Amino acid sequence: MTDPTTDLPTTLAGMTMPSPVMTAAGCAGTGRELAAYVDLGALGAFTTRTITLDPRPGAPAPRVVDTPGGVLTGTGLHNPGLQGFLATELPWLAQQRVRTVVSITAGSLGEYGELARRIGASPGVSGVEVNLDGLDAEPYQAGKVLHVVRREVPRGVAVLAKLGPGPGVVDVARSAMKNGADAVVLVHGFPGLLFDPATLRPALGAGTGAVSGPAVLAQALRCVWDVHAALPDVPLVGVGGVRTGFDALQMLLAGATAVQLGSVLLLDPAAPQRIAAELAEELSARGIQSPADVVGHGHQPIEGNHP
Amino acid sequence: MPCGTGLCHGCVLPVVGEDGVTRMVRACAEGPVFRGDRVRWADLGTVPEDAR
Repeated sequence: MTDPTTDLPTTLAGMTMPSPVMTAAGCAGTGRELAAYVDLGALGAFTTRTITLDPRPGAPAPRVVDTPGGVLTGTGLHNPGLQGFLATELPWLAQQRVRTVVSITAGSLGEYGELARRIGASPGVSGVEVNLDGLDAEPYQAGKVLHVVRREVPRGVAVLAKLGPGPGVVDVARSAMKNGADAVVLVHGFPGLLFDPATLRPALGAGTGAVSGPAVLAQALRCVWDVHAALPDVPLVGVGGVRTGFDALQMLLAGATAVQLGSVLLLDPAAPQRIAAELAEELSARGIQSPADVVGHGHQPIEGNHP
Repeated sequence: MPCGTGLCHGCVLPVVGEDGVTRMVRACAEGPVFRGDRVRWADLGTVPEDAR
């Protein structure tokens, strides 16, 4: 029996979820760590760290550096590779009552195809999130990648395209959807850099990285807003700096159907249930029945006697 | 600062496993106690070429 105060049924790209609150790629470990703090089954969905075809040992330390209002991270996509993931991480997730979205990235269309085929055919996978970064973050390339992934992933498994911020994000989103994506995830961390006061060199072992956390909420909201304005029928997932129920509500108002939690998990691993409960309160305080009722609502003009 | 719960993969160090393979493991989750003879002390703060 679900607690009625946090029952926020949501449908995203064919996935039926008890809540619009998901975890973001790369911030939720393997699932085992988070399970100590949250009921994974109550999540909208659990998104894995990004899996590549071959194992990656990741970037040298430091990988996480504080910045006012957030963190600068450079993990180098540390992951066990496709074989390792299928052998050690996915089977555990498949045994849980959790909808799992597997994040993938690759350097070639052939690699994308293999990742999508093997992961899409594995039990316990509800969705595949394509981590489009760098060269892929261009409409033509993004379209080719999504075409290959969609072709290899069975119909019942959702394909999500995660995009980086940038002036071309609307065009990349349009191309991803045209080529078979079921939803678009907005947005990656923002490119960033900090220096170490002792060495006077970049603070991250990787040199440069991505900024996330509350510092980027307004930018991520703008990204969701712009894409929803241009493509109102495209299901969106908002990610970037969400740390309260009202932040999540803002993502819905901007046009997102669901939200993902990233760096907030690093300081509050129990955040998913807290934020879902806060979102439920924010909605009920305004007499709103369901999260779906406010998706994109922020784009409508205020009516004369609106509450 | 890393998270301390295993989520962020920020506190990794190279440790040799029983199979002889060096892996970047998390001090907070796989540790905090490691066998001293399995830790690649000279390579702390780096990712060795052969690490996975």
